[in-house]
Amino acid sequence: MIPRQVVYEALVDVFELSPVAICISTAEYVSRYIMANPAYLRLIGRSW
Amino acid sequence: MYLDTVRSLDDPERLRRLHELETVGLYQLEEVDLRHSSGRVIPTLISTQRRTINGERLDIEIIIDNSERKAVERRILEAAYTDVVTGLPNRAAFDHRLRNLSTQRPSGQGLALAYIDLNGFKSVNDRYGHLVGDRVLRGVAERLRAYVDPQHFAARIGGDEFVLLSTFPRDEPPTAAELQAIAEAICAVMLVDDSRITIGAALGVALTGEAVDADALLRRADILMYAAKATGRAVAVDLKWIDGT
Repeated sequence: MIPRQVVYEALVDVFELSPVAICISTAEYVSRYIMANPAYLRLIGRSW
Repeated sequence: MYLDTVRSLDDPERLRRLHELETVGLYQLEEVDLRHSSGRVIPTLISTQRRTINGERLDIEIIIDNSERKAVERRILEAAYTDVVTGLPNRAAFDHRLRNLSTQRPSGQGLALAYIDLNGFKSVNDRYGHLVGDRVLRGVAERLRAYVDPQHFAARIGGDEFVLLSTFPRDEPPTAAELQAIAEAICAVMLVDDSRITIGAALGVALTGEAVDADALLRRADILMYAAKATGRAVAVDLKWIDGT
């Protein structure tokens, strides 16, 4: 059985390495970014 | 969720997506324009999932760059509205523009539809061949294009039929003399492969200052064009108001 921690780390790699843009933000009318992956930052031309 | 979107915070589409998140908890593959830091607009497809984790409400977004598909769509749309011989807008583009302008002009604006039918074009095709005929059509289109601006729209709507659709301040309508000058300019002698080619044109010009049925305006301009042609002159213009203004 692979420990959940290992699976979570793999999922973080999915987030970081994905060619598809992904971001997580607060669920508000005017939200704040919590995390954005490199593909998202490339898409909008910004850095973290 | 507010990303680097192009539209305002209270944009109805954005509010609808927020409503989806509040009520359904997600939306999928919604078309949203984002703004690149350079100012360029990026068409995207966004899928969002709303989650509450340890009391924190989060939106998880997956964003697909949709630029290439949108560019292809735009090229297909442009091709659908462009005449392949002359590069002018085609009949479909003209119909679309005419219907919009017939009913949705700024107040105080009139509408003039000049229906242009070339005289002697068949003889050009018969004598010099269709390739030369196409070059003559392109020449006419190029001359018409000189009149195109936000108030004047030119299109090729048939074999040797063109239109010039114009808006004007109602107290400054175009005159028959002005249209005659345009007709003479587009019919000026053309030099094609060392041949001096002369064509003529009959212009039927229907003017209106009111909201008008697009088909009625087109029909009237067509009738006036035939009246101009019936004069037998190489270049002739018949201009009338269709609403008695």
